[in-house]
Amino acid sequence: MTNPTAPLEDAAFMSAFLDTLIPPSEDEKLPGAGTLGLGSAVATAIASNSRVSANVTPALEAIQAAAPDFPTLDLAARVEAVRSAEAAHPALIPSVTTPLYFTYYQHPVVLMGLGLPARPPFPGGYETDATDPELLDLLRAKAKP
Amino acid sequence: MPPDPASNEPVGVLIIGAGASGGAFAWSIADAGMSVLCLEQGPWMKQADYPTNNLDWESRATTQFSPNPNTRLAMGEGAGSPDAAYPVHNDGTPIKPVMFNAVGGSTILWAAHFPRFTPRDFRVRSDDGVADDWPIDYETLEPFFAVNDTMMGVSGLAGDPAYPRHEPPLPPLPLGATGNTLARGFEKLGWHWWPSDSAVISQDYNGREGCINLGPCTSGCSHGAKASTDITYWPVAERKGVELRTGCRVKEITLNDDGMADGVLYFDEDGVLQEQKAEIVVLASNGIGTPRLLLNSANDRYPDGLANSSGLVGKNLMFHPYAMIRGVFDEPLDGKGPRGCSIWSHEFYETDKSRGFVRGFSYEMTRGGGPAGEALFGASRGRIPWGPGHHEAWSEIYDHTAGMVGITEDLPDEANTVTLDPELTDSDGIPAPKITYEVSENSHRQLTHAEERGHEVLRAAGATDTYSEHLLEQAGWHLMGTARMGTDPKTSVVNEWGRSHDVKNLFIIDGSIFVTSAGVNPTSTIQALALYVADSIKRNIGNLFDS
Repeated sequence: MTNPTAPLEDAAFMSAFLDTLIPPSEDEKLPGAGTLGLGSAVATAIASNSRVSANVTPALEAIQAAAPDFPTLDLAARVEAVRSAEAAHPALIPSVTTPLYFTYYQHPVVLMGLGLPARPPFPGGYETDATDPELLDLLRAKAKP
Repeated sequence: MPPDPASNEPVGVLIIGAGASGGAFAWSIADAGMSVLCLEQGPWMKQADYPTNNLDWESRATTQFSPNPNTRLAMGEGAGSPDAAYPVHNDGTPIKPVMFNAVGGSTILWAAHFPRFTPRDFRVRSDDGVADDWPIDYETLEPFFAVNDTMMGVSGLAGDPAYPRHEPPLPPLPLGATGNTLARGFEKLGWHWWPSDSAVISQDYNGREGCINLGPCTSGCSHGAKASTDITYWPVAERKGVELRTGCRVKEITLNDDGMADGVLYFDEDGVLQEQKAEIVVLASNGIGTPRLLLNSANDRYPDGLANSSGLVGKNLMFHPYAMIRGVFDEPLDGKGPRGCSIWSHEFYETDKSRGFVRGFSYEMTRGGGPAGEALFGASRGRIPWGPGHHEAWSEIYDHTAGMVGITEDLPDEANTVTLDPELTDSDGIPAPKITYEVSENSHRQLTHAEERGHEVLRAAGATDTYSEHLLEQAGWHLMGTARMGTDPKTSVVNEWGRSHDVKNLFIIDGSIFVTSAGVNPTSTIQALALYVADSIKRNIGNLFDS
């Protein structure tokens, strides 16, 4: 009997899978999601939701079955393997992207790589452009006395 | 644990709910010389606990601080819901109700968009031949709108041609690159637009510091610049002597032998059933919580629910069906800053039958989201692929999107209801509300028009690509109409100043008493009504219970 969480617990597989979904950027400022070490966090998030896990685990098992050497394949071959699984399991990608994107795009290394401040919004806040003075003049001309 | 009789001394006025209306009402009624107690099922919130204190603010905002109570409850005990959410059976509605149960209520998570209803919104039967006129008018509420603006701290620009002139106490928030860009689109088409009235303070005000543009107003303001009644009305109300008791979930309103309300039964924070006596009971529990409590208070005299001789308690539920339209722009915008506080438009607000529907909608402009939110948005729209090309596509979306929602007037329909679920209960065993609701054909036509015109104005503003969503699902913020006001006891639940026709010392002050929904956010009008009802009670205190 297959252990339904096996692929989620396979660190090398999960790292390669996440590096396939979010590979490193060409300028190398942004790491791949697996290389960043998000495999465990994403796997935990998937496993914690039975509906999501039911969408994801069979698809990952299908990838493992079709490509036992998935972690050692190059990106193009891994993309092909995931696309094949996606075709048979259309809920795979939508189920993975929510935990993956939240985890990836909230990571300080990624935020710094994007040129964004790696800090919470509070207490620093952000600058916002002032209202265009020409627009304000237009409003004043239309204002109800 | 046995009840503590000392803590349950009878009071003059008992308010159920400490949200938008309960806070405003408590502050005003405190001047009446009666003892005032408010029972709130949720806790006091701490600004330090809001998501924007943390790097993972985007995921927290969609989980522990999700506006959907069912989502918060699903987080599980100890890990999730920071409030006192109760479940809502929402399978029977395409628009899911959202709310928050804490001191401040849903103002904790709202966007603080603060339009008033317009004068014509109170007379849609007379003007357009649909629904019903309200038993009061804009002019009656105007002084209370003004007081409320001062108490909440409203930023805006006087002179909007869509409204009678009023003076917001604070200057408008900056439009930012997004607002400036979209405003130029409206100008190009010659359409109405104006900086939104916003309950976010643009500068220091009444001990609160001005907005520093944290961004996601809708997960709680860590800075306290966004108004929520826990930091506006409640501190002042408590200084006036109002007692606010948290963690208290009311089970039912009780009656004496004369058919007058004489108090409530409630579960305290330890889950112990308590009895609280009162001379006046005031319901401020929102358009779902209020009918739920009235229906849960059925008794021999009112077997179909308290104060329900009209049969209208829980009927005529109105949301605001929302359409969402967004555009992608070449130039960078400012994805940060207050989400709900840019500009609004009333270009399509009034009835024009050539459009194929009655009444209309307003537009509210919104800025883009955070890095993760935009990645998810782009993925859902097929704009950001996984795999090769992901990063390039993300950079074309992030800080390059802006958009709007079309907020449509929802006409009352008795088939849209809040009833009691026969099985689902909250953690105290109190029957939960069940929602049955359909979007009307008139609303669908408004939504379609909002989409079509929205694409047009975004293109005029320079968008290179546009998207729309006909009906937002997780957008049932505005809960109205389920205990409507009116002068005829056969066709309304409360009179023109919020007093139950059936139970003369029972008042309702939340969105339940709305006759129609207008096409704008209701909180400003809810609070003005609450202040008006409090004022009416104070003025009529000598003969308050007369017919």
